[in-house]
Amino acid sequence: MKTAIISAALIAMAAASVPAEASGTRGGGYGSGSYSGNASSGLSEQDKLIRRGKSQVRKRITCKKCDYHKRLNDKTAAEVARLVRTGKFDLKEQDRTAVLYFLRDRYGV
Amino acid sequence: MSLPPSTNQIQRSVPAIAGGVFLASLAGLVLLSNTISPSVGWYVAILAGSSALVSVLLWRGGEFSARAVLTVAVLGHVIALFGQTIFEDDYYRFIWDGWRVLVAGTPYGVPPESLIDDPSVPASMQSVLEWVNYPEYPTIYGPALQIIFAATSFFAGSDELGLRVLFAGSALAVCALLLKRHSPAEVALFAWNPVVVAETTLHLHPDILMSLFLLAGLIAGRRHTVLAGVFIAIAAGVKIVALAAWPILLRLRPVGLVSALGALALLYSVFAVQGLGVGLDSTGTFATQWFFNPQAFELLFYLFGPDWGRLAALLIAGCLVLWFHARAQDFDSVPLAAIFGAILFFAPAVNAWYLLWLLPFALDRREWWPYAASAALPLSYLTGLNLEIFEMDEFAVHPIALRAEWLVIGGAILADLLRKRLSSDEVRAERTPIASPRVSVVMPALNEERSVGQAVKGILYANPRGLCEVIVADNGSDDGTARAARAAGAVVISEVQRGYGAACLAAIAAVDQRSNIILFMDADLSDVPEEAASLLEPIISGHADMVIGSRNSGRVEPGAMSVPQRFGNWLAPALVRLIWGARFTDLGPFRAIRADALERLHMADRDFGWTVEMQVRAAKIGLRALERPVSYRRRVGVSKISGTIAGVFAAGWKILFVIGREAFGDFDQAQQTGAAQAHSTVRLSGPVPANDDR
Repeated sequence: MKTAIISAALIAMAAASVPAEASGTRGGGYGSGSYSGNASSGLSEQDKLIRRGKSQVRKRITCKKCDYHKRLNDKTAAEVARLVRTGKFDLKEQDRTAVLYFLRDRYGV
Repeated sequence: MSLPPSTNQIQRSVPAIAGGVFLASLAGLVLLSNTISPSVGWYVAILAGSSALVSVLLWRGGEFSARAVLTVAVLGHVIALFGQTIFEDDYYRFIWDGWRVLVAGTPYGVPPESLIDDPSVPASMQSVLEWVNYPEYPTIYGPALQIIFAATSFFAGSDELGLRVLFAGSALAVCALLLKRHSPAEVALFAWNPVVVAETTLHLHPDILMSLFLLAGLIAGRRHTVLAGVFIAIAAGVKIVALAAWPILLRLRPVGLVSALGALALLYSVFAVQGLGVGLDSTGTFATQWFFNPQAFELLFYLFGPDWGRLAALLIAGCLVLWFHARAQDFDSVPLAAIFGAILFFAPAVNAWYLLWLLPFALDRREWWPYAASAALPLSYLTGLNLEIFEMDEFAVHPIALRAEWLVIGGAILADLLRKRLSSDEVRAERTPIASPRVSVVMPALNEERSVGQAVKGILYANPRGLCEVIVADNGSDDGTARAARAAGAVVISEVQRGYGAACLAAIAAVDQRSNIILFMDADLSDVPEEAASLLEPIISGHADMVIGSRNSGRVEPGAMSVPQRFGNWLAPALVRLIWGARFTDLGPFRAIRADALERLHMADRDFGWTVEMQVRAAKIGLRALERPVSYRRRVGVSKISGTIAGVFAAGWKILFVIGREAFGDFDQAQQTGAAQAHSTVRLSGPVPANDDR
């Protein structure tokens, strides 16, 4: 019973610590964690944009069923950026900004 | 008119329903994965929900055949082969690493980003390199994995299908190995768990390879010790966390540990000799900075901060790992699921695929928490990035998902603890009264001429119920010990090899075969013979198998026990209680035990470790042990142990050594070769007094 009480107390304390965990304060990787010495990801805004943009490109532009599957490269990047700007690929505004930032950073377009 | 189905009919249909849910969930995941930007919410709902449902359906068992379990598992993996890896991108690194091994000899030391747009990298690999995550860091994956990645790359190039087939095959091989140790119904809990298929064939995580080699090592076990060592080494070469299982090697012959060390060294040396390291820098960064979806670490983080919190987590998890190893009865019962579970519970980064470390071993025990975890941890995919919530940190798990994980996993752990407590309360050992007690007194003696006669007469005069003989084991005395004992009425046997345990073993061998209780007492008059009855009574009445006379609970004459003795008699029982949960307050030599129980202990220690060995082994096999307070008088003559510093340290060290040996070794195995080992026991400090100062 003592073990159960201590376990319950630990769980309760852990749950109580959640309020400190406001949104936007945790690290992680693309579904797999991040290098971070504290509760914040520690990434700069530019790095965050690049990660967001890269993720969106992979999800909506180069996925297996997507138009540019294995076709995004130096030659096609400008065309992709243009299509992004024209509203193709079903991107939200913030995602569009991130994708364009990533394309500029990676391909200079 | 149709009748409602009977319980048996429902029971028979459970496997079909569970298998159907399993296959349908995988089909659902595969279909979703083949759409453009699928919903992570639906994806996680299918994965977590089906994992929970299948586990619940399979928990009570049913009629399964091994062939059916394997066939359905194969179907599940085949379906997964048609899926796309979404919400995960680790596999690009695996393909990249494999290619680097083939072209450069080593994947270590060179960050992938340094080769982006490098003309030496072919276009097919550039498209892989494009998506390698954290390309600024050289790889951290172990040498065994690198060799496997290279082989996969050789056959499949940059196509991830190679990895899919490899991981599917590995998962199915684990299923096949599990069928050697478990019933098909139990194996289905692993083989049909959608998380297992998702995290191997669909999400492409290599962790299943670690489990595969560990399991192979366990199965090779004692019959093929070298092979077991090699397999367990490869497991550590796949994922370094497998080192947590390595204490298991101490339960095998030494060649097992030697072969494991050799194999691991060989694996690392293949890459180390190339001069670019073996990924330790990146691994260090991972260990000291990684943070994702923590469970109990969250609390430590907020209590102690990032650095001290990690240290605390490391210490707690490390102690738990050792504790689980120490409590295991033998090689085959080390709870690897709990060991890896403890690591995960306190780890700063917890991913769903880490469950692959422990799920194959979860079948060893009927506990809920591994299956609760496999239903809960997929929620960790609900990150800001995957949910496309800009207001959240991209790699933060949604707070609701995180709380749900804690609730489910914590609740399951709590429930398992309660179930265990309740079931242990239900088990009440039957009384085993002895109608015709026959007590043999064993009295080891070394140069006790002045006291042994009185000690023998004392116990004969006290005449506890059932007393039939007093055996004095003369441990090579060079005075008149034997003569005095014989004159007082004892049977005297001689054991020339010095050591308390050696003398006891010799005396036990000479005990009358009809005796059913053995009473041990010292020959130096420190024990009070009249108190023997209180030690024997619980055994005769059937309430206990062993009764220890506790000096700490009784009256100790001033000067009878030295400070180091008192400390040792506190420390050793504390360790015994910590590891095995048995409550003792003393290692006193005045004790009684049923003869049949003593036989089951396979006593082997030949010197200072005798008393603690008896108590530890009694705890390990679940003997009913009691303590009774006894008096302790100043001994006659000068102590040969507490009188010398070397004696005190030798005795203390030996007692701790025996506790360690019993914790991490297999005494039943030692017993098989006991006769050969017994006489090779190292003598600790020259002549060992037979009966003092324990």
